[in-house]
This record gives sequence, C-alpha cells and structure tokens, in this order.
Amino acid sequence: MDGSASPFRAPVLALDGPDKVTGAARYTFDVILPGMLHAKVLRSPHPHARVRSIKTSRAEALPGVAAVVTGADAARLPDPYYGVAIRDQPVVAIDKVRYVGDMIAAVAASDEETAYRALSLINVQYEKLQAVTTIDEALAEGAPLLFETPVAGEPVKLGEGLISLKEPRPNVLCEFGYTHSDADAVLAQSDHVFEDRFHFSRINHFHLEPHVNIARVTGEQIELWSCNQDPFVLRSDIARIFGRPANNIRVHARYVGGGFGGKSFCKMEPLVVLLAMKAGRPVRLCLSLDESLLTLTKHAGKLVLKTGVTKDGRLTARKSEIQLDGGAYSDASALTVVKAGYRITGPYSWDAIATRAYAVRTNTVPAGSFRGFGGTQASFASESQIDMIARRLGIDPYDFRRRNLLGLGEPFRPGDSGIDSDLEGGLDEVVKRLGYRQRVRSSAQGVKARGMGLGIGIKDGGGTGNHAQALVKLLPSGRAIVSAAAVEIGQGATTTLSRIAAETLNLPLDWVRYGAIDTDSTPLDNGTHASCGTVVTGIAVMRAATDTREQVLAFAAERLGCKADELTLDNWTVRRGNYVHPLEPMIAKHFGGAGFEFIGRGMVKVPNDPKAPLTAAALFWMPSWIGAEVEVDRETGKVQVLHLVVGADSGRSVNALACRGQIEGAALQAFGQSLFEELRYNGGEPANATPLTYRVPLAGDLPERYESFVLEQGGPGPFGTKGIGESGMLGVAAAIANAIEDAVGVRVTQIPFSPERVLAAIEAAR
Amino acid sequence: MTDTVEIAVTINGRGHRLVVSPRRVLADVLREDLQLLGCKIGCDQAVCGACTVLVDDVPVTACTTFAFELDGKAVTTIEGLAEGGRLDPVQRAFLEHGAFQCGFCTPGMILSVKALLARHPEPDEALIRQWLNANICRCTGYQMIVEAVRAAARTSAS
Amino acid sequence: MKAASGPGAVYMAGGIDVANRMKSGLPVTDVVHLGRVAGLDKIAEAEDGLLLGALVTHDQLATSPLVRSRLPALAQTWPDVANIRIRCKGTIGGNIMAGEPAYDFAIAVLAAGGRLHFLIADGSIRIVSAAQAGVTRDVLLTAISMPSGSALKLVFDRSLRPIVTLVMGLDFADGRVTGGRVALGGAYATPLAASLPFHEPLPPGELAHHAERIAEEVTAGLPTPLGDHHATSAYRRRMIAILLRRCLSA
Repeated sequence: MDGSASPFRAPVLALDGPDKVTGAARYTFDVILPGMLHAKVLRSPHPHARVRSIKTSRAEALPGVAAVVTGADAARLPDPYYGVAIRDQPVVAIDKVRYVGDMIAAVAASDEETAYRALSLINVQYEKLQAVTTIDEALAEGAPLLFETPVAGEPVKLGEGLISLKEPRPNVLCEFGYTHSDADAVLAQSDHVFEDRFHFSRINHFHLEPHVNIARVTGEQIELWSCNQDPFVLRSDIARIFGRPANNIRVHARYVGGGFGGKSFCKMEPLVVLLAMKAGRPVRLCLSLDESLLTLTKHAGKLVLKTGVTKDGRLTARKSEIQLDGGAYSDASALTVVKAGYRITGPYSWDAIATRAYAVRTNTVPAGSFRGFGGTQASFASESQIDMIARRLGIDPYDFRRRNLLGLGEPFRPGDSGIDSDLEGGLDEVVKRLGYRQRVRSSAQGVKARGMGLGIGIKDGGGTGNHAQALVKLLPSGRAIVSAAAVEIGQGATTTLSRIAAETLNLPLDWVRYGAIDTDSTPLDNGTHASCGTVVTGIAVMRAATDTREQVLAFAAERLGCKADELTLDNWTVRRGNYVHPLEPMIAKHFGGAGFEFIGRGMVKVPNDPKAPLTAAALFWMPSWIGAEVEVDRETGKVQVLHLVVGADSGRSVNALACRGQIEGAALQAFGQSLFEELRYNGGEPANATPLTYRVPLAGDLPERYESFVLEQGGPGPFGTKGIGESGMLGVAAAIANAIEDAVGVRVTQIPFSPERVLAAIEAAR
Repeated sequence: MTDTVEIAVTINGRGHRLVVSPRRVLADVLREDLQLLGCKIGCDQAVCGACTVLVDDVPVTACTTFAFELDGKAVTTIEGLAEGGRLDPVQRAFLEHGAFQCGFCTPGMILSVKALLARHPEPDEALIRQWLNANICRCTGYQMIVEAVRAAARTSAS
Repeated sequence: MKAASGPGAVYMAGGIDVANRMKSGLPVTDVVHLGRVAGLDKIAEAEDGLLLGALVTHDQLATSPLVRSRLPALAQTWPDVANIRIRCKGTIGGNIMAGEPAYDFAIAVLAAGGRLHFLIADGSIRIVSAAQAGVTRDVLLTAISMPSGSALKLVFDRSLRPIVTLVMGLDFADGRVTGGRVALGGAYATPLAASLPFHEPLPPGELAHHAERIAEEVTAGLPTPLGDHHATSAYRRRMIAILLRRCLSA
C-alpha cells in the first residue's frame, strides 16, 4: 500500500498530552480504593534453596496485618503456574526458591510500614542448594536442576520442518531449530568460513512507574487495576489460575508509566488477587524500583555464528548456535528464543541456514520480553560479524552490505512475506547524515582515534498471526469514543488510534476520545507488544470506524429517503450533492430522549499460513539503520560516541513526533546497554540491583550529536502505516562496535564496551 | 523523637497549617493529605527525580524531603503551574515538542526545567543536558526534551 | 552536640545521606537538624586561603564568585558534580562526613591539602589536616579551610567515573611547585590521598618532563585498589598512573 497521499501531514498534539504535562494523568500507581490494604513481598535471599517451612503466625498477629500468603495458599489453587507457552512460575514460591528476589510470601496490612515489619516476623527455613548462575554452570555435567520434573505447557507452535522443543535437556527451558537447504554442505563449498562468538549482557527495563496492582475480590468477581500491558492475556491467566469463568474477572488499565515489555504477560498479579481473597479487602501491591529490577530482565546470551562467504563478498550460509540466559522462570523466554533464532539471518540473502537457539535456566532474575525481543541479541551478533567479514576480505562494510541486502519484495526467509522497506535507501540516508564517506583515518600514533560504523537491524513486526478487536461509538453530538485495548504505555496509542478513527469518520481529532480500558466493555486485544498497536489494533479501529460510518449513512439515507451511497459524512453532517444535513438534530428528531449512539465493530486477524516458518507470514518488516561515530582513547579504552544517527520506517507516520520519540527513546536504551548499562551478578547475588547502582542513560550521556530520521515507504496498516516502537533498539550496539573497529582496528564482541574491555582488546591486538 | 510537628507551608500559593509525624516525607503529604497526585514516586531514593517539586524555587525530591523541613517555605507542584487553565510556557513547549511519552517523569521534569529557566533564561544545549541529569527519562531519549526547553526559553524571552 | 551523642542519633545537614540510610534500615531515633544553625554556611577569605563553612551547599560552592576567582578549577568542575538537586541540598560538610568512597568534595579537599575544623565537646575547635581526620561521631565539622589563589593549582580528571576519579593538587611558592598530593575517589573503600614527591621546587614548565616518572612512582606506592563490577583492581591501578601523568602534563 503506497499511501503517498497521507492524510497525516498536519502535526498533532498528543491527546494524552494535557493530562501528562499538568499532572492530571492517572496511572495504576494512583488508584486508591476505599478500605484498600497495602502489601509487601518477602523475597528469597538465596539463589537456590528448598523451602523447608514457613512460620507466619507472628506476622499474622501483628496489629494491622490482615493477611499473609505463602506457597501453601498457592498450592491450593486450581493451577498456580504462569508463563508464556511454558508455565513454570508459581504465584508465590511453593517448594523451592530459584533466584535472589524470588517471591516467597506476601503480607497485606493497613499501611506499608506495618507490612514491612510483618515481613521481618515471617520465619522461613531454607535448605540451601547449589546454584547455577551462568549458562555454562547450568549446562555442565551434573549441574543441579532448577526443575526436577517437567513443567506444564507446550512448546511454541511453529511451521513445518522447524524444531520447537519443551525442556529437551536438563536446565534447558526450550529449543528452536530452523534449517533451509544444507548449511554444512554450502559452508564446505564456500571460499571463506568465519566463526565468531558474541556475548550479550543482561539489562532491566527500568520503567519509572514500578510494577503496581490493586485487586478487589467481591464474591464471585475478581477485579484488578493493573499496570500490565496485556489486560486480556492477564484476564485469561487469572481465570485459569483461580479456576473462575473469565466473565467474572475484570481488568482495568490506566496510563502505564513505561513498559518496554517489563509489564507484559502475567507477573505478580495472581499474588495480589490471592492476598485480596484472603484479606477480604482490596489490596494494593506496589513494588519498589529495586524490586522491579528483580522481577524481569532482557536475556543475556552467547551467540556463535559460523558464516560462509565467497571471495568477492557474497554471503552463502550461516550456521548459528544461540544460547539465551532465561533466568529462573519461563516468562516469555519460549517466544524470545524463537525470535532470536529466526532473526539471526538479518536483512540479507542466504543460500542456506541452520540455526539452533535455546534458553537455559539459571538461578538469576527471570528474563522475558524486552523491546526488540530476540532481535537485539541477534542484530548485535549478526551486524557485528557482517563488518568483521567485510574487513577481513578488504571490502568496505557499506559495499559489503549493499552486495547482500534483500531487495524490496524479496522474502525474508522462504515462505515468509517480502521485505517492504527500501533497505538500501535507509543505509544511504545514514551514510549521508553521518558523513561516512568523508571520514578521516586516525593516525596510528595518537592517544585518541576516531572511527565510524554502520548497522542495519531488522525484525518482523506486528506479532505472528496476530489479531485485535475494536468498537467505535459515535454519540448524538458527533463526539466519538474509540474502544480498544492497546494500552497507552507512552508509545502514543491514544493519539494514533484516535487519529485513525477521526480520519475515517471525517471528524476533528479533538472530538475523539480513547476510551478507558476495562475488559468488561472494551473489546479484546492480544497485547500491547510487538509494535502491533498502530497496525493490528489500528486496522480493527479503522474497520470499526468504517462500520460506524456506514451505519450513520444508512440512518441518514433512511431519514432523507435516498441511497446511502449518495451521501458522504463530514464533520458530523451528511452531504448530499450541494445539500448539508446536520446529524445532531436529525437524531434528536427521530429518537428523542437521550438520542442514539452508533456503535461500529471491527476486527482483524492476520492469516495463518502453513508455508510460513513461524505459522504466519510477517505482517510488516521493521528495519533500523544506524550510524555511529566514536572517539576511542587508546590508553584508557574509553569510548565516546560523538554522533549517533538512527533511522526507521513508519510506513506512514500518523503522529510524527511520536515516531521520532519512539526511535530516539529505543536507540538511547540500546546505546546505554552498549556502553555501560548492565545488571551484574556476583555469583548468585545481583551486584547492582538498586536505582543508585544500576546506571541508566542520563541527559548528560547523550552523544554530542544525536539525530533520527523516518522513512515512509508504506505499510499494511491504516493509510499505509507500520509499527515503529521497537525499531530503534536494533543494530545500535553493532554499529558502535563497528565504529570502534574502524577507529582502533580491534573488535569487541561483548557488550557493554567498558573502557577496560576495549583496552584489553586493543592490547591483545598489539 | 516528638510525636508530631506543626508546620506552616505554602503550597501552590495557598497557606496550609499541617500537623505531621517527623518521619513523614513531602511526597506522602502531597499525595495522601492534599490529593496532589501529580507528584509521582519512581525510585523513592532521590535518584530518578520523578518526584521533583520546587521548594522556594529550588528543585528537590519530595520522596526524601522531610515534611518538617518545609516550615515557612513555599512549595510548587505541577498542579501549581497552569493559571486558570492556561498552560505555562514550559508545559506548552513540552506539549508542542512531544517531550514526553509515558509521562511518569514529566511533572518532575517540567518543574526541574522551570528552575533551570529561572536561573538561566537562555541556556545552551550543554547546560540543559547537564541540568537534566537530575531527571531520569526512560522513554524519550532526552533530545526532544532538550528542544522543548530551548523553545520554552525562546517563548519566555519574547 | 549532647543530643547527637545517643546511639540512635544522627546529624542532618542537607539530609541526603540521612534519608538514604534511613530508607535502608538505619535505626534513627533523634535527628539533629543543622540546617538552621547560623554561621556555618559562609565562604570567606582567610589568611591561608579560603574558609568554607560546613553547611555551604555544593551549589553555593559552584556559583560563588570567590571560589571562581580563587579556586577556578573547582568552580569549573562543580556544575558537573552529582546533579542540581543534590548540589542545592547537599552540603560540603555532609559530603565529607558521609565517608563515601567517591564523594567529590572529600576528594577535592584531600588534593588541596585542606584542613577540617571540628567543634569538640568542650566547646573548642580542633583543626586537623583532612588527610589525618577520621570520621567520628563525637565531633561536629564546622568548616573547611583550603589554600587557594596562586598557592594552589587543582586539576580534576573525572573522565573515568565511576571507576576512578582523580584530583591533583600542587602547592606553589614563588611561582614554583613545592609539593602536592593526588586524591583518588572510587578506587578504595574511602577517598585516598598520597603525596607527590617533589624533592626540590620545580618550575611548572618542567612538570611534563617528569610526569611519567612521578606518576609511576606514586602509583607503585599505593595500596591495592578495589576490584568490583565496574573494573578490576589492575585496571584501576593502571588508570591512576595514566590520569596522574595527564594531570601533571596539563
């Protein structure tokens, strides 16, 4: 869909903007219910231990304590485990604790201080077990097992010929395998084969609003106010865990103070529900930021890439082994493994592929969804190695990429959809803005050396075979309410979806409101992730608005005694030839009383496709184009990023400011991880899991020059849109590594590129 | 420690006489006693700056400011900026330049910027970045905030 | 001071460390709030340099015209220390008394060869070299004196924070370097200072010539630096030598 005549040229102010700049915005953090109790969680101090006993009587006796919940309460539930596809995480620890920070008990009390005091009165007897805190330790012969028996769930369903296994080996959660043609044979025939290994670090989401949930159980009804990004997924998890019909479970979403995947899928919500049930009163559990740091991370991992190439620089085959550190529990590791494995081929053409990816269980914070989702790990390894191979062959990294890039329409992988972005065009834009062709070789002698590096990331966008539903209500006055469950996490869903409806209905944008999300009345959405809001929920909203429009025109046609196709809708009037008929009086006259609401319904389901490797062809592709200029201090190893250029493809920007913000926000997260941000461990103990010691990028960390650009090459969404939320995460680390090699001739294959690590690489090369 | 302390504090231009426990922090007084929910608590440890408010025009973290320190002082929260529904120039600049996304850091960020412009009416990019080290934003990547600040400075100057 | 002598008592100036420690579980029963104590927040010229009250905030230090003219390197560095909130609230006295390994003012005072003025229980003032002062509870820090103007040159290198911060102070007499110190933050459990060996007065122009030798000699004599999740001990030691050499050559 070309969409060159975009209706979205005029910039708009975000609809949630006035709330957010005046302090009127209300988050789950702000929800207060009458009689609400406050909860705190007791967490394991051990990375791996059996729970011998928990004595809670002293805590329960403390004045002000309403309820204490432990594994004994969880064990009585119909199904106390959650996780995506593979469900191994208990509502609260039942027989074992598996990481420092694992939830072992919870208290609901009149105030937080009393709840904290009560925690210290809970007596837990642990039998310490040997812990495995790295991938190597977990896979070693005779390593202690995190899970002694198989857990509930199924491996992720994939297309024919792909491998998807659940718990194939001790301490391995799941495995993904993909082959195309015969990689070993093609490698054997290739002029050169290069094998390189890469290490990817663990980081936290660090959303400023911590995880916060309020539960109220009244008789048969369970009601939750949750910061969760996926209200309907949560509803079905709660239904299953508590054995209650889903229509007795109600989830409310408010503005979310940052998610990035950290609030995706079930987390501590069932625990809050359990507390509310036991206490007989509403319970609020708000984690501290420290605790959120011990709730979820982005997968660290090791990637070994064996890549073949012809002597004139054409890629032939790649054989990859990807090990992701899944931490103590499944969370979304099963999906992340699939995506990391699938995306390791990058935006390039290949004759043969063989990929094996798996998640290893370790006694560390569980790893799950993080913006980019497997694509960040994959693009770091792939885009680094592309540069390494180019340089080994004496080919400029730009030329090497050009030689191998997938063209428009070429399928990413056989059976999948074709690339829908001008990959070369984006690369050229980076080259131009960076001044890549004008770069000057640094003298080999100086203390400081400068260099430039490029990168192209890519991921499939919109989820896999995804779906969404929406309603659009038109009130008698012509004001509209868009009812959909894409949660506003800062990505701009509010404005984008409202604008799509406004455009379809020919209404001013400020006549449209994005309705409150309540699973009782808001239509189902499959979750706010995978950059699917604009396209998938967007199509549902557009279809709903179209349905509403048709209903309005049919009504007007009947009133006017003509055919609906003689009428057009414009600013809440109908036009018939030269005549304009306002709708509000027409409705009042016909209905009287409170008037009438036109309620339009829309839905979308991305078709499944048996030929597609992931069971559905990708709805759209999300490339990112990165250019970095660095200065490296040869004596200290310190890397300064002087200039960072990041580009992505929005298809057609519905809200240009939001698109720019998504790209720059994501890229700065990736930048921070490239240079310093990391959750580090000392054995089984997190070394820096506090806001003071966990360093995230500050304004003062910005590269001297930081810029972004958006290409608009059309996409499948309403009016030609695409999703863009995750794009900026991809390829940044590799581009910086590539710039470092350009500057000082050495390759760092492990992030973060700390001064010590870079210096070690410089000295090893001497 | 005494059981309670009486303080006289002006909040958004209105005088209040409050009786507070000496251990109480300003963030809780604002949110729980005065229902001024614009002050968000992120890290609760004076690191992230989300709870920034102005006390006698100086930016402080409400989560670590004891209520007893406010006796005789004037506090400005995000709710105190707009006058009669008209946005303050900094609020307007944030809105027009898309200088927010999830919005959780935004009230604190805006107040921090107010303090910056009061002291440095025409800050350059380097000074803006340095000043904003006091406020973590995880969403925007900061560049759009910096541009909003420059625009607000230009508007306030004219 | 009597009020501060009980086991659950703490002094509080800006309150940054007190609040942090209380949130981490420090049991506090009495807070002696120094914020309103008159006279401890002045910056004045003294016979031997500048006299800085313990309750002077970092922000006052960063914006003081007297500091700008007498300790220009300090004035230039200070707007980059911590952030504006902390600078407005935190005091230089609190910075020293917190005893944190990377707190900037404590390191600067050591490099400058400054002295700490303590009020002791009998009402008298004890003045101690910053390098020798321990952090104890039975005294109250009231002021810090630092040489300034042409008597002292301070050079800061904070480029490798949080791995290591280095401040070098050179003493001048008659236009020649007569002595000096290097102070290190983030490299040891507390800020550490070492003397720079100048056996005879040196014209400043010749410093660069001796920089590498001095840096190696001083670094070799230092205790083993910390190894932590930021960097190894060996890396820190090497960087101390490099940063010191660069400061001497500046």
